[in-house]
Amino acid sequence: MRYVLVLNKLEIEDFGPFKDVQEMRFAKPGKVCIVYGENMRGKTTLLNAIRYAILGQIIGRGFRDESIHETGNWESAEQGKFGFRTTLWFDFDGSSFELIRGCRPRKEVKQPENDTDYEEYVDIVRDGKVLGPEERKEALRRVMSPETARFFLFDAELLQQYEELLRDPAKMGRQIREAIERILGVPVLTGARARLFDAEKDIQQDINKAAKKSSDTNKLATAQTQCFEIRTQADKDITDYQAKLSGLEDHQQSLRGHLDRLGDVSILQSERDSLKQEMQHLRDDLLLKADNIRQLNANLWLWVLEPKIEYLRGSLSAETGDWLKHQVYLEMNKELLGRCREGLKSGTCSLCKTELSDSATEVLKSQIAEIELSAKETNPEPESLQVEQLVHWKAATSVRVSSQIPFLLALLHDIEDMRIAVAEAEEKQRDLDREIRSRDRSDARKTWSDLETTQKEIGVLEESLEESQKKLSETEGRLEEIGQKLARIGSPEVAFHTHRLEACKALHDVFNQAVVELRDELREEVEKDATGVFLRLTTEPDYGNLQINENYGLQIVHKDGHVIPVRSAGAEHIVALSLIAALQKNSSVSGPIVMDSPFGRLDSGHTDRIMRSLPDLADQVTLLVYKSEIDRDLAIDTLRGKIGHEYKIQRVSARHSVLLPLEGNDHE
Amino acid sequence: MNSQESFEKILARVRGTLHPDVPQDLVREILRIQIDIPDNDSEARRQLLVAIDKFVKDKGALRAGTE
Amino acid sequence: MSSAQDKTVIAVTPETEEILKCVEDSASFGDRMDVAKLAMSVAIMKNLSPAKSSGRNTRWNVGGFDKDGAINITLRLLFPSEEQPYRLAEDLIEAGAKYLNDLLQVDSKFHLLTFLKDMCPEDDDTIGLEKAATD
Repeated sequence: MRYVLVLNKLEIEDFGPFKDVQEMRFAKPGKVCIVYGENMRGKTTLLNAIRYAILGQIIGRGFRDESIHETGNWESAEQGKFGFRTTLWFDFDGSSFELIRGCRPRKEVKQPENDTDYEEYVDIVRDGKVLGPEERKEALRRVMSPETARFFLFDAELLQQYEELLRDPAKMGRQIREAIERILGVPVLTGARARLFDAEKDIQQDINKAAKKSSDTNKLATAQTQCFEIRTQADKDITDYQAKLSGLEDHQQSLRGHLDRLGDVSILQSERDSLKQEMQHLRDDLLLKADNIRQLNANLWLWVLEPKIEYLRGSLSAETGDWLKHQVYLEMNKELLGRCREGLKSGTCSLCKTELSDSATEVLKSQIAEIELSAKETNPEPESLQVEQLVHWKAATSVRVSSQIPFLLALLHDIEDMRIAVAEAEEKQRDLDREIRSRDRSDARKTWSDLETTQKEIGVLEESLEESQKKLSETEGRLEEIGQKLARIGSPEVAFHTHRLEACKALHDVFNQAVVELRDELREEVEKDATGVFLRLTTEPDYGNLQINENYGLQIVHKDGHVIPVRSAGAEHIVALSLIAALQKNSSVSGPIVMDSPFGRLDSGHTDRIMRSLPDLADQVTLLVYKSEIDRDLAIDTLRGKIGHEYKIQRVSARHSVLLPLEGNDHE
Repeated sequence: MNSQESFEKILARVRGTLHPDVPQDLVREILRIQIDIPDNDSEARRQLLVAIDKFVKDKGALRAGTE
Repeated sequence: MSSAQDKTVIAVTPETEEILKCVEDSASFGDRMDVAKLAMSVAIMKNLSPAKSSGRNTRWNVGGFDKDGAINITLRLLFPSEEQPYRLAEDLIEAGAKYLNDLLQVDSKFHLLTFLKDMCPEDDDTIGLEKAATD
């Protein structure tokens, strides 16, 4: 039977850059919810908000716990509002839950300055009923533990951790192996087995007490007591070493994560360089547009006077037109006048060359007088200005500036928008510079040194652990011999306890075998399911299947049966995702997956395949991605109706982001 | 986990690995203790030992009866 | 026409110079001369009385100020009785600059869009200024 966890809605208040109250709805099972957000806008913080809501944990880079005080929204803090809250609505095992978790300043603290100034609170309402402290604890334990959460809520950094572990199964952290077995439902059997093992020790003590009562067995009892002490000490040492080892392994992981983070500086620098280029283009464009405006403004005085100038041009057209017409008239009649005057002078017609009669001469004289009179009367040359000047003026004022005004307006708007864009880019650049500066290079040297020291300590501890385990094994062997001797020569009381011990050991064997068989069966199932997912995700056609070892390490096997010894980063990524999907499928709890930037280092081929397979990876998938990781149109096309909700994280200021549903996102 | 269904499922798994000297009833009881008492180790061990003791006594009585 | 008595240089008062500078800086004008011409046009359209002020400092040679002679002829056409168009231009610049100063916003900046809207008749939206202002 599987217990199904379905997330419905998340509400966050003043969490990270998410100022005031904001909410998002998760997609229904079978569909995907996608949140788009650029780097440093709050994508990882949103993952943290979900993690905090369920587990009360906020994890930063390198898996270090983040400060509560630093998690509250800075702008709200400047306004005197400290702390934060998350409310998660979800369904689990047939019940509806509302899980409220948050931090607030202690009553006596006016201005919190660090984590100790806060108190945390958590409330759970199940099917309308508020749960008491014990019920709350039990409910949270059942829904999700911190160990299993890493398989449901993860980011690229965690995925990378799996990739490394899968590459080096010997180093697979005990915690992760235990976590894998926990979600596969092994703990009931391993728990029973462990208690039977402890019960064996109790019964051995009873044998010892009984053996001490008889002189025949007293010496053996004393030897047995000494072995008990050695065993107890060895057990304690082993427990201590394992705890220290676990701590050192976590520390090692954290240091590696820190070094990776320092490596991310190059990504930030690259982002800053792109931003600088973008700003330069904007500035160049601004200069160009300003220049265009300057050119247009040079004629602005004409636009202002345009109505009057148009009127003048109109009225002058009549005057200058008439005068021009007169000039044309004169030009046209010049020859006629010339001929008439010549004819009058010579007494012969200039055309037919015949002698002019007296009447013809009179007609000619009359014609000449008419033309000359007409020329005088129709000479409208303005008194104050010469026509030539007016004609020139008309040319100079002919540009219709009003037709250029819309273009000018468009330029003004563009410049305004571009100035805002430049200001925003400058602020973003300052944020990036600050972030880059905070990643102190000298920190890297110290971290490397710490890492080396930690690795040496791990080596020493592992040796000590091995020695203690050997001592324990030898002591157990000695106790077994003593037990057998006591069984042969001991009293009836010893014999009774010995029967008890045999029964207990037999039970222990039964459960141990059950654990082994369950693990084998689960490993086969996980291998089969992981292979299925892997072959859907990989673009390499020659890969045959995945092979799982006892530590859940996965190897890629070629179709020809050979193990692929060296894997690309992309292949590692796919293998890690395949393991997670397989664990999801085989776990006793069916839960949602929330992935932060899972495609960052993958090529488009793999990204496309993963996108298509998302609804198969888990019942409920939520993706937090940045723009260049996947294209929205491509996502919509690839997932085709399987998108439940879409959001984008929009920047309001450097310390304030809003979670906005994307238009047309109401796919449910 | 405390649903009847999951108990039977696990029992079915354990049943498959039964030791000849370990009866099914005893296994069922150990499993029940583990599921019903997830946190209280001392009480769980006490009940566990009670179950084992009963089995041993019954077996002893049976042996005595057949001898 | 007694152009021999007309001005050969355009001069402005220090106060007017300040106003012209402010407009030039705020609103992308390539040359302060263009702002001066604008001030002159504004004075004409708003029927402002030419300002007779003293203390003007020589600024632009008329040959550079009015390269194509358009200003000279425009003023002679608009004001046929005026015999010294450049002297008139100077006085109009002074009057127009005061008007532009009144249009400066609270932030002491000249906003071109506000100016364009001011110069348009209320019922005239042929160039879409109203829409542009509310976009």
